[in-house]
Amino acid sequence: MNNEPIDSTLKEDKAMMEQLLSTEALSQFDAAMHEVPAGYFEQFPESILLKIKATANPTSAKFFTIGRLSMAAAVLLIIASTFIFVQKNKTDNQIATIAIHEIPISEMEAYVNNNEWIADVDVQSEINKIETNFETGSLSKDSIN
Amino acid sequence: MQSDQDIIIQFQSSINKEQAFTQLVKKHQSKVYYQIKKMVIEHADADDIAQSVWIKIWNKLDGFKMESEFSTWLFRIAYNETVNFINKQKKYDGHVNIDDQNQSNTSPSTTGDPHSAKIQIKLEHSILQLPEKQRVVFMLRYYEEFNYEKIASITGTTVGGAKANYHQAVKKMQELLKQD
Repeated sequence: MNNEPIDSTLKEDKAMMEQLLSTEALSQFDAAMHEVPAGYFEQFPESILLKIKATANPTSAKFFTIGRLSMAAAVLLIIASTFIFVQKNKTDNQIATIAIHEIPISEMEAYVNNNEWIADVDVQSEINKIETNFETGSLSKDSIN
Repeated sequence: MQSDQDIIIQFQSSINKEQAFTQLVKKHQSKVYYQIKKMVIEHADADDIAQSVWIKIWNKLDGFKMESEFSTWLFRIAYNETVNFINKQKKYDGHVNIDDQNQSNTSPSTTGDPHSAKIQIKLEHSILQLPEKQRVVFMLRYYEEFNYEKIASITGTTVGGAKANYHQAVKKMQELLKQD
């Protein structure tokens, strides 16, 4: 029961219910619902505190364990991916440096000249082939290939 | 006796959380328990729900801003926990076997007279068949004599909605009592 003054509608509302059932029956139900095992309310505050402690500790410990593990995993992942990224960049740069700086100029010139020579040779041989075929009259579509 | 507000301040300042909490439990435990029991009827169920209500209060009390009355907040948590429990039970059982519940719950000590025992069973039967919201509104209005504003805050409805729920509850009980 609260300490607020009973408003008129409350009386009406209660009367509605009391038309269906006697106040005796309604108060008997109330009394039945107020039955509790002996000492229940005396022990309840202590038992609820014990339950709170029991549920709070393993949960928090578990939470912290899971939290720490996931944090460690995340840090490891970041370190690993950073390491791989740095290493990859390093290798790429090294290849680029070797290509540019470590090849002797003479070698590069020889490479270029050789290619020109090969190209000259190829073109010349193709011209010769065409001429030969033309002379023999066996020129075909595929002769250039 | 210390006011709820003072106890909550003590709890939130972490001076002696357990002591403050125990004070709150002692002050409100019976009202919470009775409200729950009137909804679920069985002591074991009411005890389980009451425990989860107080565990929730412990976990959330630090964040309680005292914008509403503590008792309203407490009853609201109790109402939500009870409705969750009933819904879970419905899922597990398919439906609540009201007859079984009535047989196991009607205490012979309170119903010495066979006639009043019969009425008691009828009443419990009817109450258990009411929808949860109508059930709690009926209990809070008839037995706790709460005003509709408070009932509306607890059940998360409007004042008009709470009034309608009470009237619907009475009407439904009338039908159910006639059937029996």
